[in-house]
Amino acid sequence: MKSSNIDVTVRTTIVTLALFLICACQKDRPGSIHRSEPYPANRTIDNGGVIVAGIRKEPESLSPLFALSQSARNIISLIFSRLADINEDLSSFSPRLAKSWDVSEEKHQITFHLRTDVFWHDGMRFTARDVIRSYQLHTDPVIAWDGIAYKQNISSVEAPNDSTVIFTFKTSSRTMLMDAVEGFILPAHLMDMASEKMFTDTFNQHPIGTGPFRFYSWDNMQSITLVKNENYYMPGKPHLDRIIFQIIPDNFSLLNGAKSGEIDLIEGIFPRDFQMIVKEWDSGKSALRPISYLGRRYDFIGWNLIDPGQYRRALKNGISTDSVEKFIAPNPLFGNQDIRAALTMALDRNAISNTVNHGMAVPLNGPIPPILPAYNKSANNIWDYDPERAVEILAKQGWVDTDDDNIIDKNGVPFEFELLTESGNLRWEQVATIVQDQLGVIGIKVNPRFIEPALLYGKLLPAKDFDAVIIGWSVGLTPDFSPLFHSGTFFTPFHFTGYYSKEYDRLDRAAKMASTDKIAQKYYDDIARLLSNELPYTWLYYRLECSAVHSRFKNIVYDKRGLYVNPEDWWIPREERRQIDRLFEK
Amino acid sequence: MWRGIFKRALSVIPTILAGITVCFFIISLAPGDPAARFITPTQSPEIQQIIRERFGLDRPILFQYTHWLNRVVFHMDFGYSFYNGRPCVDILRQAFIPTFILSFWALVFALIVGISTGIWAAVRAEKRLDRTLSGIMMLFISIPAFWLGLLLLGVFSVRLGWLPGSHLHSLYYARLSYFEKWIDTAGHLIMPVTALGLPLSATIFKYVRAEMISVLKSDCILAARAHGINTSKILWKYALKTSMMPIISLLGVLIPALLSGAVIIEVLFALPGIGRILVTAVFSRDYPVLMAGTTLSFALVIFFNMLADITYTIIDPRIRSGTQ
Repeated sequence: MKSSNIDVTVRTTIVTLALFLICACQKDRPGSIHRSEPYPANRTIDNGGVIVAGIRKEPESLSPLFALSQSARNIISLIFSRLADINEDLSSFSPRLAKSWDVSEEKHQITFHLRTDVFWHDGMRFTARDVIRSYQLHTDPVIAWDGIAYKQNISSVEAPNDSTVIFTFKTSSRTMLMDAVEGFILPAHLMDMASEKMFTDTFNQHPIGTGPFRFYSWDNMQSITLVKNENYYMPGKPHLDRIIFQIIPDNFSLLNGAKSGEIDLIEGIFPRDFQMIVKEWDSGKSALRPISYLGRRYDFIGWNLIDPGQYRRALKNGISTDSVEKFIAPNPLFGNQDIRAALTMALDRNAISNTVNHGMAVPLNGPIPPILPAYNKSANNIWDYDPERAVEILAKQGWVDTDDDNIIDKNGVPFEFELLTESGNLRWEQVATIVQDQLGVIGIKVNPRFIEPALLYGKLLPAKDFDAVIIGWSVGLTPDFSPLFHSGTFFTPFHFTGYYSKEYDRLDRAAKMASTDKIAQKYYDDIARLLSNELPYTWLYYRLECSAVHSRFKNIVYDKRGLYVNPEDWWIPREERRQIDRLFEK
Repeated sequence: MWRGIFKRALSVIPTILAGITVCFFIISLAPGDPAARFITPTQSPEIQQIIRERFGLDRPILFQYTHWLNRVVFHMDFGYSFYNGRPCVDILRQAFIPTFILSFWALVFALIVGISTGIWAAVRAEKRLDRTLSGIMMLFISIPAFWLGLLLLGVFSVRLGWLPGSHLHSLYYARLSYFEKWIDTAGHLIMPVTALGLPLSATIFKYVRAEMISVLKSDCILAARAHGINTSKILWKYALKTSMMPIISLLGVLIPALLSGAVIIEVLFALPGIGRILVTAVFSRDYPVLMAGTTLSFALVIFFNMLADITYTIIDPRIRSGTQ
């Protein structure tokens, strides 16, 4: 009798759970899938319609001065405009708020001729006063705008009249135009409060710009809606009526939204999920078109080149940039270039990349990312996977297994170190585990440690208190490695490897001062050669951005600048509109 | 009785004060600098100091605490978020409503399901129905809320497409009529309320069933049966009231669990509640929002515990006379 009671309970439990799981795991219902060409030729563009983009993180601010997250920057790029936008070649520019510009003969000044038909979303006219005020805000240390470095070479900005602005530079440089146009132009008539008050001002949640879309509403932690700017300075644009950013923090829910058709566009898809979207698209089961392109991010292993204990003591005793060489001792493990080369050769970086990125990454062997014009593949010193050679180099340096414990040692000290990475970042945690496995094969004991981000970036890395770390950087549109490797930034948080090279300092300065791209290229090649040989980092891979957009949206241009290159040109054929487009048409 | 209640209410103030003081120091002394999030490689190191000054983090911690406490106690001002510069009170006010709606309906759901199935199982104790219900409830008590939420999403949103998988309402909510708005919100809440309420209902079921069985076997109920009072009257008039007493105490414990469960459910179903606010605040070291949220949670938990005590006093005459 008792066993029968238990039977009933167990059976009920199992049947309920099984039914639930079967239902949950079954494939989606096949719906009617309509797909069409992404760039239809010879047809009239239809105006109207709505695009719903899914984002994981709510923007912290919609002010160009304080926004840091990618989702915030994407939205801001639709609301605000720059004087000029960079083109796909990352060296030329297209006019925006400035209709043209001239560079003075002595190459110290750029004069911008502004458009006179531009209005702010609140109806006020755009003038040179807005450009001057934007420059003041961009360079205000209290505001601490993250692009302030672009403005360092600018000595003054003047407006002889409402439609002309003159930028004067301290020294002539080939990046003058980039320096001048970087940063969105802000409305001077709404930016007259004290700098200290700006971080808490309501403008950050209700922005007014000159871009193709104007801010409409912000539903707390739910969605942000932008509507078409009817007074946009480019006639007939934008074509879409509305862009809605839906905030969905959970990855499963976000993908679910895209699958069910609630979301039209998603960025930052995990590679494994992206492969599934590609598969469904290829087999004709989904109207969600996969899009991938070389993005801005790469991952690497950073080695600590200096002795952390010695660095701590030197800091206590007062050390300056000039005395770094004198007081800092090399790291007993990674202070030697031969060891770093051996470690790099012992790693099968292609296997690592393929495992963690599911093919959505390209090899990277040096500091200059492949999207930049300065990238020269042949300039990098490539360390191919060669564990036998790695063992030889280590043996030559005295690292051999003398006590048969499968760990190489030198003077009784085993080759063992901690490999830190950010906790919660599954990709890096996976890389750390593979590195542990691959280095274990040549007798090196690696102890992966997953650290909470605030502790990692806020304490351990700035204090150079670590052995090795796996993280990644997002790159800018101009190559600048001085925060990472220049001796002038030795004590700053991002220069955590303790790399110190007078040769690097010389090349960095020469590249920045070069008057033409051709001359600069020579120095960038030398920098790539030097760093890929000295290996303060072991570069792992350069990631592809994985996105997806519903096939009913036409003329979406995407490239290394991102997915929001031409939102004013996106459109939907009338016959492909859906219920949500019609609901907002009312 | 009212004097007793007033005394009880006053006694929670030092508890709240001690709790938030401990929280303030733990949060402030945790490793990680809120200003670090604003620093990019291209900025000079001095910027970090400027940002620390912007947030008042350059002052000694004791000064920060007294300044914060002074503003909170005398002005009800929790300061501005380090993350987005908005007033903390505004952020929490907006987030409180969805959390309240979710928790309230989850509690109502849990009480209805838990009590009704508990009584039903107790009446048919040791029979097939009781064993089946106990099995199902054991399953729900073992499944974490987030897992149940994922299963519900998989079945009703992805597979069947019957229910919306995220948010509190649809994108076109503003264009709906009053009745349509109500239906829309209800549709969005069905899955999160179920995911949050079902494990709670299983806990309530267990308590009600056990208590009810014990009451039904008690001498007074046997005496009532012997007097020929009909079963329905015995059940609803005598047994139910007696067996509900432990549930009131249980609610005082369940409500904090409900609030912590809501954190995960809000992230999973993208609901704009306090849970999501606090998760973001923890990761971005947003001390003011974290402190405001902690203070609110603290106050709510203590309030509901106090409410349970007071309810107990009102219902049970023995305790009431003791208070007097």
